[in-house]
Amino acid sequence: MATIPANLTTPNSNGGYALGYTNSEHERLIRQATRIAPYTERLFREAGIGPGQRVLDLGSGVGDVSMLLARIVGPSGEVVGIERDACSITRANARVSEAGLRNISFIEADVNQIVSDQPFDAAVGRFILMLLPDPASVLGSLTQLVRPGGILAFRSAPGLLFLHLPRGFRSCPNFFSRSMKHSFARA
Amino acid sequence: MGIALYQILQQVGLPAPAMHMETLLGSDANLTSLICDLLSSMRPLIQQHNVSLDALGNLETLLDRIQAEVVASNTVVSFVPLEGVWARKPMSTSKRVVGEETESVRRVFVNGLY
Repeated sequence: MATIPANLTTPNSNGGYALGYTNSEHERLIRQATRIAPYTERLFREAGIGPGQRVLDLGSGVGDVSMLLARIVGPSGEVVGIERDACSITRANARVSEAGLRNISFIEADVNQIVSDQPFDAAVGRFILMLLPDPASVLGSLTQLVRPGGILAFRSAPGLLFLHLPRGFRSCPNFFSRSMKHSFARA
Repeated sequence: MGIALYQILQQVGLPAPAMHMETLLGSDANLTSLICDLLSSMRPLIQQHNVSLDALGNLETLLDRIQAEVVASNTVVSFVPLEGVWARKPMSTSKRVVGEETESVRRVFVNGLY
C-alpha cells in the first residue's frame, strides 16, 4: 500500500484551494474547463493515457478532468479523483451521475494523504502543481503511487506575462502576473 | 510554473519530460470573460496582499472595455498559456531521496517563470 507521507505540504497555508470553494468559483472553473477541455484531452492522449487504465486525478475539484479522463479510459478503466473539499465532491458526484458515468470515484483527502491499495497507471492534475507551496515533494510522493512504466501528466500555467490583450490594455499582463505571483506564492 | 517543471520532474526521479505550451486565442466575449472571471476570483487574495487594482480602472466594466477594444481593433485576446508536461516512471528506479533535493527544487521553482 502506497501512502504519501503526512509531512508534505498542503495547497496553501490555509489548507485549501487558493481561490476558494464558492459556487461562483465552481461555475468559473466549469466555464474554464469547457473551453480548455480539448487541449487537456490532447495532452492526456499524447502522454499515453488510454482505454482500460486506472488514473488518479489530483485536485479533482468539481470533476471536469475526472469526467474527461473517464471518457478516455472507458468503462473498463477507472478514475479516482482526490479532492479535499467535501462540497466540491458533492457537486462533482452530481455532475458525474448526470453524465451517466460509472467509472469515477472521488476521495476526500488532502494531496498529502492519498492511500491506494493498488498502483495507478497514471496520475494527472490540471492547474494544481502551480498552487502547491512545494510541488516537488508532492510530485515525488505521487510518483510512488504510479506503477513502473506508468504516466505522470500535468497541465499547468507558466504565468500571465504571455497574456495578449488589445492595445490600451497591454500593461495588464504585468499586473495580472504580479497579482498571480502574490496571490499564489504567498497563499 | 514555467520551465521549472522540466527540472522538477527529473529531480524526483523521472526522466526528462516531454513538454509543450499552447495558448488559446480568440475574439469572442466568452474568452475575454475567462480572463476577467479569473481576476474576479483572485480579487480577495489580491486585496489581501495589497496589490493595487487601480491600473485596471473600473473592474465592473473591464470585460466590456476590453471586448469593445477587441472588436474595434479587429484583434484577438489570449487566455492563460497552457503548459503540458508528461513523463513515464522508469521501469526500474534507482533509489532517490526526494527530501535531500527539496531545497534545490524550491530554488528552481522560485526562480522559474511563474
